[in-house]
Amino acid sequence: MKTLAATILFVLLSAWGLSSIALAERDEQQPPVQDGPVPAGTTFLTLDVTIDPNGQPMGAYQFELTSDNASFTVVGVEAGEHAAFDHGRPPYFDPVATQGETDRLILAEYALPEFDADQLPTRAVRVATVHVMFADPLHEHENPSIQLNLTAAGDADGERIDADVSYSFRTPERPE
Amino acid sequence: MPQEDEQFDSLPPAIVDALRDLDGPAVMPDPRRDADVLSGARQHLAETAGLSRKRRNLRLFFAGGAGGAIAAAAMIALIVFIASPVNGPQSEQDFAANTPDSPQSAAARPGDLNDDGTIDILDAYVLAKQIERDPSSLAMDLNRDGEANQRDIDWVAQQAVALNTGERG
Amino acid sequence: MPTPPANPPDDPRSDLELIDAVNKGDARAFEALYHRHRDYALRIAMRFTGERNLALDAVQDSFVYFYKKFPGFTLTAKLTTFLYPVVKHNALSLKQKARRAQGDASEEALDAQADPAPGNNPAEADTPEDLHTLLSELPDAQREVLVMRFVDGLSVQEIATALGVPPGTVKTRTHHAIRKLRESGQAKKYFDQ
Repeated sequence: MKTLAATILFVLLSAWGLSSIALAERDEQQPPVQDGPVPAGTTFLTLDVTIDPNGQPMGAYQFELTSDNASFTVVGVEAGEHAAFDHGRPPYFDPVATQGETDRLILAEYALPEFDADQLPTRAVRVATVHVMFADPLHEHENPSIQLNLTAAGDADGERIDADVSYSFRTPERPE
Repeated sequence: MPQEDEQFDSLPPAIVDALRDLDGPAVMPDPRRDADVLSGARQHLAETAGLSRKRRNLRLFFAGGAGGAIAAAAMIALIVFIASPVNGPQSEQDFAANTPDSPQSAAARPGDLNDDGTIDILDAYVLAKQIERDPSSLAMDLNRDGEANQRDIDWVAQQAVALNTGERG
Repeated sequence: MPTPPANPPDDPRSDLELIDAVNKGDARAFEALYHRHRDYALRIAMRFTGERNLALDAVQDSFVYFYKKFPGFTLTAKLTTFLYPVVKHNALSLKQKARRAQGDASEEALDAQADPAPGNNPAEADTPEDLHTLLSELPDAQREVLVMRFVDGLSVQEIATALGVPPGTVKTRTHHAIRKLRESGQAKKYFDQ
């Protein structure tokens, strides 16, 4: 009995240790998914963020929006288009991002608990729209790049799933 | 570095000189002020050095005591382990105490409901599901306001998206 | 012009080593740090006060603030990066107090001291007045990062830390300032040399 208990303990500890290492490596290797320039002369930008859960029911998501060569102020955040994520309010984000310049924004939302797995989105869905104002008007020599990094996506049980995040942008000159 | 960026990474010497000139000539320091600052520093460091020594001795005392206590606790735990057969949870109460939903588990890392070492939206989602299943469970009252409700979920979610916290996960 | 008092020979220890020694109560180590960075702090203070006595006061306040952080001070950036916002804050506070104390009648006098007209400063005699005017006309935030980068020699990250803004903001301000200079008639010729 003691041997069995010790063996179980050893296996659990090993599994925990190995999975921690695997998760850490995966987080380190996961590159920003979306990266690209924006039109010259832009000050305001509207980003539509889409997540594709690749066929699995998505119950929660969290992504990070950064720019490595420009700072911005978040001027608005809108909820996405799927009913499961319609809380009647925008997704969670830190209001600090609206109070001054930042180069980072974290956005996250979970599905309403009453939605079962078969009612959750399984294909690409717009999850949020973010309105940003860049600190200085952008010039063709210094187009900022926007990076999106999906840091968490979960299924109906909150278990991590592989999903892809992307964005498209709108400028005042090209309303959608 | 892209070529167009290089032109913004340096300035002609004449312009750097002009920038330097904006500061004007070097300011003449004042020996009396130097002496005031340095004597103030000497006094402060002498006063706080005495306090530091007392604090260091207290720290050593408690560290030594704590180290001994930890060693004794480890020995006792080892003896109990060797002496007692382990058959799994002794009772339903023991099992409840070791599940992620229990107050003990939640208290160990408040907010990390799925015990993955990170507080993110998945924890908020797990919490939302648990509260929906059992709204009366105070084990899910993470913000300690006497109720398990939306405020607890918001509490976790806000930690997940916080930009300036030192450690979210 | 009187010669400035000679600084004691520089201590061979690095700032980190000196800070470690100060944390252990070594007053000589603090003295070494003071002499090593006093003139830099004076330059920053003068930049924001425009007046010698105010600058000296600001530096004194800054180093008093600094030594009161010991023991237990941990340096997480270069010491110049740490000192910059401290000195700047003290300098601006003292300048503001001086303005209030002297009243509006003297505000013009203080402004003239802080922002000397091009050509008033003998050190500018060798540099075209139009270049100084151009630099003075840059937005304060842009001029500040230019000076920190090309005169004080701080890196983008160090400037960002000192000013409490994201590195992207530092880069953007630098780029805008340099572009303005490149596109101006007075400064363009220096870029083309």
